[in-house]
Amino acid sequence: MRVKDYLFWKKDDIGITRAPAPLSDQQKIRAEKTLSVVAEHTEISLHKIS
Amino acid sequence: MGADDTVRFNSKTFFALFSDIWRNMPSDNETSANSVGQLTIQEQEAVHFFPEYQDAIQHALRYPKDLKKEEEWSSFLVFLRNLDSALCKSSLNKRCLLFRGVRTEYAERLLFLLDITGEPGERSGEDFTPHILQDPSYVTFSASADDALEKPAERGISRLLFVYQGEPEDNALPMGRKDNEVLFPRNTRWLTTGYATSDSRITCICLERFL
Repeated sequence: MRVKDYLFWKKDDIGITRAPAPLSDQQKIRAEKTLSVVAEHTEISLHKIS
Repeated sequence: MGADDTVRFNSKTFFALFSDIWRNMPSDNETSANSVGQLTIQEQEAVHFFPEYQDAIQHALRYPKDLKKEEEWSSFLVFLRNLDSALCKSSLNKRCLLFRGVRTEYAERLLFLLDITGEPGERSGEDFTPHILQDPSYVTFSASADDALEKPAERGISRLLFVYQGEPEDNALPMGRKDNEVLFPRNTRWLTTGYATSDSRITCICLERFL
């Protein structure tokens, strides 16, 4: 099946800058939850937090 | 299409589309708009038009320098205005996990730019440096991780997958087969909030919208 090109970023498509502030605790917790959901619902095997 | 593929992008053919459809499209105030939350005819046209030509539209927005000289650029702007307006009126109807990929030839470089080594088993810790990503174009995510993950040409190659937890209040348009793709407004800023790399070198990076 042909890859859907529009679902991928390629070189020079995006600008990247450092965030102006560190992450909040809530943002870190949300990220961990999201990664847990990815590990649970996809074939991608991500290690759990030690 | 990336910057290197500019030669393959035929601006004459691309803008011919806008000549036919959008040059004579009346502005919103010349037609009766529906009530708030519903799309005008022009907005519906823009929504239907986008999926078929999104590769070319994304290219035009990312590399507009030479295209702005084209006669039909103004028609293109009318189209953009209507799609922007449709996106403003639309939102996700449920919480959903969404994915966007990165071409494998760019994955290593992007990991480097984000201060991530991408070693198997690695994940973000206290020293994680958040970054903001911004795409001048509209951005499509898929509810399918498989759709946004390239099959590796060889083993051991780093692959990169962005993950976003969509929320019902997000301004976004469900698109595609069975609404499994979602379109976000152009120039959306995305904040990286954490990552994890699998044993097979797939790095998943979490995104939040940076407002």
